Amino acid sequence: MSEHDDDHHHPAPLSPVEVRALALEELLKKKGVIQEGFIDAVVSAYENDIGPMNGARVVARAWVDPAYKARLLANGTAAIAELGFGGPEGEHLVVIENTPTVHNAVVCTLCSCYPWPVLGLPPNWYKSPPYRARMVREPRVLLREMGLDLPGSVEIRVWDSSAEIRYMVLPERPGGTEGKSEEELAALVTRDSMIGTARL
Amino acid sequence: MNGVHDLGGMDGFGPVDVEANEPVFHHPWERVVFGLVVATSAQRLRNVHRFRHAIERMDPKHYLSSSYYEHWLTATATLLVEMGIVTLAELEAGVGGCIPLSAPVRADSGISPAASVAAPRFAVGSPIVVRNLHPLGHTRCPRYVRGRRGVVTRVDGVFALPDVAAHTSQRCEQYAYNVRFDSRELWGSAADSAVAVYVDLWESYLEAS
Amino acid sequence: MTTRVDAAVTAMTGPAAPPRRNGELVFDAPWQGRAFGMAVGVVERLGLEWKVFQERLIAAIAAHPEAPYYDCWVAALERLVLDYGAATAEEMDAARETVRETSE
Repeated sequence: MSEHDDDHHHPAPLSPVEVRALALEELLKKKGVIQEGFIDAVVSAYENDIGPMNGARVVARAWVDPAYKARLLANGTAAIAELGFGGPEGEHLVVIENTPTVHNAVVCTLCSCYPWPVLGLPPNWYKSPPYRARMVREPRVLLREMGLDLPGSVEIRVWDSSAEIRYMVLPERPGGTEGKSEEELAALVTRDSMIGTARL
Repeated sequence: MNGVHDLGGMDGFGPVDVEANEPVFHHPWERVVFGLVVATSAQRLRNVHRFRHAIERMDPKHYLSSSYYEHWLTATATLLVEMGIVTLAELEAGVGGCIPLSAPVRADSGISPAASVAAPRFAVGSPIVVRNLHPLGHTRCPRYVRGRRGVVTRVDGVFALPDVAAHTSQRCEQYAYNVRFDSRELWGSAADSAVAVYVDLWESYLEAS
Repeated sequence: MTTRVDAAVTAMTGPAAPPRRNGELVFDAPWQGRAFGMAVGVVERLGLEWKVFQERLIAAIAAHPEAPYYDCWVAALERLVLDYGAATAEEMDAARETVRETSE
């Protein structure tokens, strides 16, 4: 480090906990407990793959494979298991399809039931009293407030997860996406479109 | 019970706040209870029906003004006390103040489980009306559909009836159904005619219409 | 990629759960993400159940409820590494010293 190098960056001093975290990482790598690249792969998985992206992959597969889509709508649990997804709160999954004339939205008025194997953890607003109270009563008004303006001719179906069934919305495939790969399509799918508070 | 948790259809709540972040520890008593939860076995709290009912029994003001996590914590503390794993005195001594537990259970379902599960009473397309039942104990029949007419769209198989499972260790299994309700049936003739609400309901909540 | 402990990690609830915004994991700084990945890696590599780490995390939070979440996470990870003999206290002190020296 040259004192005369004007372009030299002085990094901000490390906080004590940062020192400890870095030290641990170096030590564990040196001792072969952690492989190089493993941490990056895990972080990437948790930031990108686990959670809503599971549902996004299901949606993308349904868009490109009509036979898979038919199986998904007939038996959601079995179809998501084909892609390796399932587990608690996903043992009885029903997938409902949006069309140009039908829009679906999911709520749990009594508590916060949510299909976490495909959608990850529920957002706080999904668990909040305003959402739980209003979605079954005035869905078109509420959806407009949340940014989705549906014309009066579109039928809205609200699904209240009051028993053991969990619901996921299969959003319509957006126009202009012909030729995209399944992976590219999955990247277009948002959590809110699979709950039903947004369209793509 | 007709608790404040049964929110479907209530007015006056205002907009949904999509940015809300959940506080973790709000009150000192939460830390103490959390430590006790950790120290005691959580295994006996596995019955989700009993757990949900403990949340439902919270004081309405407390329920509406607290976070999802605080609901969980209150239910856990309540069940631990009710099951005799800790005493309220121990909890309160740890905090040096009052701990808001849920109200006591008022009644169970009064339903005697059938010896075996019969064939489903209803089929896809069956017109039904939801029975006007208001149990003081746990139920998963929302108030906004009681007395309302709908049509069965799915027969979902057999599941433990929460009204019994929350209060006893008896198995009472029934068919559950998905029922479609027209919005105007629920909210009156001025409601949006292009809206339908689909609710999942156990067989004993329904009768033929 | 998936790991053996994914279901257990994702199922964490309450104050021991990693901070999320609308369900998505939140790391305020890169070191937090690395600490997250490290815990998963150590548990996997040592063939442990996730709750072995989770218990230590819960204890760290209970001991210092005001501390930031990932500070507790690092403390729990250090505890796990020591308890299962993946490193010694002396080795950890030496590694920290090296990091401090090379960052100045």
